[in-house]
Amino acid sequence: MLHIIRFEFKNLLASRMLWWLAGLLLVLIFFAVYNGKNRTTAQLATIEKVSDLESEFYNNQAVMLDSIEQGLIKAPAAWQKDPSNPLRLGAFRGAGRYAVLMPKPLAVVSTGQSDIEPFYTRVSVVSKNAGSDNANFENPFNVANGQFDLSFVLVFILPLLVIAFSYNILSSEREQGTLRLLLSMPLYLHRWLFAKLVFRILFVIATVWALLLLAFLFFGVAVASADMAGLLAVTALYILFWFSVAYFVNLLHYSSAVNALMLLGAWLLFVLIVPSVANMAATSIHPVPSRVEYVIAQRDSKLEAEKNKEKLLAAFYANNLQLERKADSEKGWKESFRETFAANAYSDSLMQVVEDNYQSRLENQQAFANGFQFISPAVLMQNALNEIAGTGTADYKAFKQNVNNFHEEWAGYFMGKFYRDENIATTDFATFPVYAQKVKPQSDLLLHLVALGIFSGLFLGLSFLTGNRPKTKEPRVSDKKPKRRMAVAN
Amino acid sequence: MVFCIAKKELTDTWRDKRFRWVSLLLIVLLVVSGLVSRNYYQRIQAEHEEAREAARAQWEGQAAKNPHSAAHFGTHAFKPVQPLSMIDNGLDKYLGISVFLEAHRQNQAQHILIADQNALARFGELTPAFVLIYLLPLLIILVAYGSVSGERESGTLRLVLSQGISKAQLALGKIAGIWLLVLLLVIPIFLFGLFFILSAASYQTEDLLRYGLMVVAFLLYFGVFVHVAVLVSTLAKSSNLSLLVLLFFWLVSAFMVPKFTANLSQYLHPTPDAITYQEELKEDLENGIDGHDPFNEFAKNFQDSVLLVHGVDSVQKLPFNYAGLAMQAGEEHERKVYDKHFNDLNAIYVAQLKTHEASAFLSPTVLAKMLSMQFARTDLKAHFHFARQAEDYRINLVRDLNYDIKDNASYGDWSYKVEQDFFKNTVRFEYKPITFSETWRAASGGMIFLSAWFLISLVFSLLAASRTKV
Repeated sequence: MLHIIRFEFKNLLASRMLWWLAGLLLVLIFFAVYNGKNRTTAQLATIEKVSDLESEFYNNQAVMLDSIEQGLIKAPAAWQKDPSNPLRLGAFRGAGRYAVLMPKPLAVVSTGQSDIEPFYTRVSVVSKNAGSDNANFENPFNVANGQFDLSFVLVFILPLLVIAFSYNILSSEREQGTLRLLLSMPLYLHRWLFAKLVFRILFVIATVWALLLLAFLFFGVAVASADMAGLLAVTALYILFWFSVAYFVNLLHYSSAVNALMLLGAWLLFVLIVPSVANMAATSIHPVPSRVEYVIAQRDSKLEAEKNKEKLLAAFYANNLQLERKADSEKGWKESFRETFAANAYSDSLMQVVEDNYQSRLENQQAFANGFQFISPAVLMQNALNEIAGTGTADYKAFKQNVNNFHEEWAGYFMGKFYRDENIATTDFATFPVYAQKVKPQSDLLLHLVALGIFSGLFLGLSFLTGNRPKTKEPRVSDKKPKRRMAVAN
Repeated sequence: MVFCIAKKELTDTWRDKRFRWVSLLLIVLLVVSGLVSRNYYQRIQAEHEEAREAARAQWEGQAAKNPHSAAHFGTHAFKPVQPLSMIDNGLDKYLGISVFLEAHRQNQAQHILIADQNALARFGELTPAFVLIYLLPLLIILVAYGSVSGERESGTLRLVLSQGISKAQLALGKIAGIWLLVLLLVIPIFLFGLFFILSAASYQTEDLLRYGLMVVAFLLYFGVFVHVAVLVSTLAKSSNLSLLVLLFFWLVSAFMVPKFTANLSQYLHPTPDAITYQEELKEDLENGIDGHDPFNEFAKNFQDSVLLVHGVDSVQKLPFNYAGLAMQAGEEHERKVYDKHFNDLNAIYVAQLKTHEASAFLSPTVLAKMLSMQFARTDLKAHFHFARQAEDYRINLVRDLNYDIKDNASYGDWSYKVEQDFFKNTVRFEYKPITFSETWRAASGGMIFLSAWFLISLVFSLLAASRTKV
């Protein structure tokens, strides 16, 4: 066994193709990590910017309020600008805290959904919608093509390199004539082939791991994170899968050229055709709920709220007998806002019904579509990498939930103060609600690892069932006609 | 003689089981994707039609209110779907589906459909264009990678040449044979596609012209692959090497160059981040574009000019409600600011797309994709065309409302309400799709580039053949 390993090692090192492929992979990985790093750096710069904006606003207000409390300056006449007004600090222009989704340590690994989902949003009493105002402008053509990130290299390109390494693991021996020599020796052919395969698998895994670590260290990516173990594991299993497919194809005893074509066909199938067919199936069988209908339904809610505004206000004053309903011309700003907020709360509750209905249908559709990931290891790998990078669908869903929860907390605090007719004091600033990521995204990484393992096991199992008749002569001919265009083995 | 070779090529490949299986798979994928796309198109089209009517009904059904309140209530403009999106739905899912039209704000299109799907959708959608652009070239490569090198390896090359044709004629024959094969496969498909479009509810004659040009673009694209395949087959030392090089070319052309250029274009022409954009917009709205003509100055000058024209000294003395006129003037003044920023952003996107076009000297796939999208009216330009029209409509609609205040309300009376039927008489949104000449202005460059690829690859393949050692 040791002989074989030593021989294989020398063989591989002497092979020019190995060096070319390793060099190519190095360049691609470095470029991909560079792109990922740029993306993450830009995100962090934006996060710092919004954090500065937020603290600048609240510091200014705190300073102003402090001066007023100490009697150094007079409170502004305009109630909109008065820093003791809870609405000034919680609802009006400039107010609100930014909820941000910090990039995870290995965010460079995959762009995932980060080019179409917002990663920060201003939360105030009146706003929490990340989508409308915080679109980071990405050219839709670029989004459609996808970025040159590490997940592209690992999911699409790495299998091709694995195939290049393994397509002729058995067929080359036959074609070079050395298979006869091997068979003339008292060794188990399959054990020998398996050892050769295992060696190559470990070699490729070690090379890829080394290149990843090298690239991460070079670009200052945090390698000492728990996610790193996940990345290494999922990469190893993906490599294992493609080797198992190559092993299986080799044991069908075709020629090297046919092996190459079959493996490329497998690549096309798993990486290109199956995912797009699965996507088509998922959206045909269980269509995504219509956004157009959603928009109309939301407008209907608004119309409904408008129609019932008078009734609503009457009910509001009936429920709050301590408040006096004044005529429009006599209303102060507090009375106007109370009415506006009551009307908005009603309108929001109607719109929330539409929203909840839409979201639950969307979740059903996504859960259904998610099931299709199990028919392609490429999709499994992509989802696993998205999760490691923190840019998957689940991550943004959790972010939205956290934003909603924070919005409730924030609105509750400031509206509470408003309704109780309390003013803000400088001591209150420390008690303003702070955004925290309480809801964590669901982790499917283990599931992905197991599924990849099962795929590998499937092909290895198939390999053990076939290929029990090593042929030393020409490749197996499946029909009587000679195969055209094949390089004839001399 | 050339025709003989072509016929032999055709016959041989037709008998090849691999070719049959792969072409069958492609046909199945094309038919299935076509049917699914058509179903989707018809469903979405009906939805959008319904939504347009519903939105108008909602607008007209508003309770009697002050027109300015109605302007704030706003309405939606829904982006219509184009019949050719059945072939190539381009960027439709990456762009918003509706624009909210309200006073004092120019909004961007909302609800990007791709965000409602999970990561599986990012692998690509199985549309007919996807199969034709990504998968058909692989069939061509499969058929053609051994066209010359296989002859060389099996020793028949010398035999054929000894029959008295030149090497260039041989290459031409091979090219012709493969072309016949491709045409045999795709012509029925394209006819099928034509039938699809004719059976769609709302196509225009222009759509047929666009479809014809899409077919031309696809044929040019296939031609590039045929020529390059024969070229590589001629130059390669072995069939295996030929296959390897061609697949590498396909990989680079279809995946690596577009993704690489996506990052490069963002680097060369960076888009502003949202915060900067909003800040600059806010500043220009208050202080005027680049500080010229800030809003309060503009308002004052406008007021002075109106008073001058009517020969009075205060707005109350004007024969109409000045507030209505002033609001409209303000709306149009603000619109200029919004338009400037919108156009600046658009210019950056266009520059990025030009980078992609420039990258096409390495990748004919990028050209095919862009042309296909442009002809199908599912590209960025078509979207902006819609956004501009929606904006024009917004200004016109708000003008209807503001001028009603100007003509029928007395100055300072904000409790003025319109009659119930007023909204029925406000202007409707009639969308005119982007015309062929506008598309052609953008697409002509791409077509010329793709034709250049076609011709140069043909010339090179013939040249290489005539110089090859037998």
